[in-house]
Amino acid sequence: MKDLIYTPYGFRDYLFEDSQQRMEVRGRIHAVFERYGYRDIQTPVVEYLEVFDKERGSISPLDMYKFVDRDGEMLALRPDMTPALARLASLYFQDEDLPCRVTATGSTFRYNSRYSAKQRELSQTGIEFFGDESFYSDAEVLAVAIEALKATGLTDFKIAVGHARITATVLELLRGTDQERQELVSCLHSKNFAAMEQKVEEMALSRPLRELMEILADSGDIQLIHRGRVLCETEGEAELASYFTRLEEVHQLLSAYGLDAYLVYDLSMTAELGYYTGIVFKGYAYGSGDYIVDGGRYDDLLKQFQKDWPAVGFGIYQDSLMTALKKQEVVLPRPNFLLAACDRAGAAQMIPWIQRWRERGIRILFKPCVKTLDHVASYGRNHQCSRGLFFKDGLLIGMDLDTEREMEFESFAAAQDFVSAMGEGETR
Amino acid sequence: MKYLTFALTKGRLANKTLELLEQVGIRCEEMYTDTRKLVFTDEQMGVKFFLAKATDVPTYVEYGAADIGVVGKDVLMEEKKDLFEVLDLGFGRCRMAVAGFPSGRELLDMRGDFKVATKYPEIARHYFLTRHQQPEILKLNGSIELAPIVGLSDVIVDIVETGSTLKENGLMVLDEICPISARMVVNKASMKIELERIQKLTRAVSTILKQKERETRA
Repeated sequence: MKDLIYTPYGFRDYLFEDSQQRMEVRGRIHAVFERYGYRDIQTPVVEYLEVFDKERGSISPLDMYKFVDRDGEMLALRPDMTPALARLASLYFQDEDLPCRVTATGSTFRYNSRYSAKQRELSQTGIEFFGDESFYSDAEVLAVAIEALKATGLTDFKIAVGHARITATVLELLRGTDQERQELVSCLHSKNFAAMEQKVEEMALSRPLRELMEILADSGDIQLIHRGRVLCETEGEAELASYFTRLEEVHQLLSAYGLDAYLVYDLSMTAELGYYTGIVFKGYAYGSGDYIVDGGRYDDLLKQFQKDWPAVGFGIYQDSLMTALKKQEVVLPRPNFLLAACDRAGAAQMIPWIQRWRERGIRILFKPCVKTLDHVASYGRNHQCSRGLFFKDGLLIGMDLDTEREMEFESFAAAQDFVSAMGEGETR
Repeated sequence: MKYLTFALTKGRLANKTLELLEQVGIRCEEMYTDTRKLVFTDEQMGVKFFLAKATDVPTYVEYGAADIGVVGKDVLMEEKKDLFEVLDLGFGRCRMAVAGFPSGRELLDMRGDFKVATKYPEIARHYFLTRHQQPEILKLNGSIELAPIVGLSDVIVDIVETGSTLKENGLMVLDEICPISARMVVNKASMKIELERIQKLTRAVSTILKQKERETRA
């Protein structure tokens, strides 16, 4: 028989501090989303399998938790929020509701997940912006992503920006066998410059195409995008040039937001989710080897739900984000409690006062039938209390659990200031 | 300044890597002094180095415990980690090959069932799949040549440098899978966060490598 006190592989418990910090971070991110007018929605954890169809570009069916319900329907635990949110939007929104901004938070489930020590349940929080195809929405969504990360206290991070169509379009320009192109793509993705140069030589590419390949493989600031745009324009590649122009337009708006310093460009960035059609981006932070933000534009995804609406959005992977916050030594506040303890006889007298204080927002943990002040101190420290109030034999004693300083109060009313101080210094 | 951390493969590859890095001006004095340390730091250069078992290097880099790693292509192919493979460093050259007794060649071309011993089950599996074969693959951890000699397997998949060990035991290379050499790999997040430092480094190393190649050709 299995030991039932353990969680299944890939799933984990979060104890007080971890759990509190996750709530705190989620709250800060959510506040930013609201500041930009994104409204909450929730979708079920279970959806029809087809919602995440691989051909429409979600993740591989092998990596999904899927099962059959009593009626023989194929279902899946959502591996990704976006298709489910797109489904919801298609069901409830009409053309006149557009453009529409939504936010959702929840668990996603994947086998063999790449993220965060291979957890299979991943907490994601993100936004989607439906019904606007302009670069204004691209820029807004990027700005929200950056502001959300800043709000968590993270300082050392970058958003890598690319475009889902650029690499594909360049490949169409190349003469060569499918095999050769495939090899070139894998050089691009692994940023293997030397191998790429060799391939480019073998394929005898023209000078402009070579330069273009170099730009694709490179990473850098907006100058890289300018170079690409100018090159495409001089070569008369209007379609390609328009993609570069789009990135320039987005960048310009991000400068207006005052956030362009967080951007770095990488045109060969692989989008794990195949439904992206325009701008794609990933957030990376010092301290997390994996990306913490994944997003982009997906103008074709809603077609499967009979709506031809453009959309752009992103998700923040909370587990990777927490790793980065820890590594960057971001101190998050945590709630502190007042331990109100009394002896066997004191409860009836103490409870009305506790209730009064609780109403005023003081966090109070009540422990009756306590015999000694030592017990108040040790129990309190173990349960995240910074102060103790002990009512015994009609005597009221307050104790600062950090300093062990004691003081006596004549009445509950006299302890008012001692208790109120909890409200002010509620965190440490 | 934040440190740029290197994970190097213990042994010959590490020495070769240090030589190469010295040529681009990265040197960690500590590496040549205190041998008991596990992590070597050079404050002035802002770099840290540590040595790890080859198969662990990709893991350190994937998780970002090291920004940069140097490891053989064989390990990268086997471990299939998500990282940037930015440079072929040109040293540590050898071949991934199928080897066995001369009689093994017939076996290889047959559709029948046979056994393969290897340290690289993923590479072996992939190679035989491209040949539409699904032999039984046995994972061993060392002295792979022993397997066909004592009859554990029909053939082996392993790295071959000179082939002299094979020859001494009556074995030979039956087919070459691919050439192998040392690669520089970079963590995907580091590539974004430390873009300038890493780019500067890879460009400098790349220049040196090209120079060397020109010299050997001339």
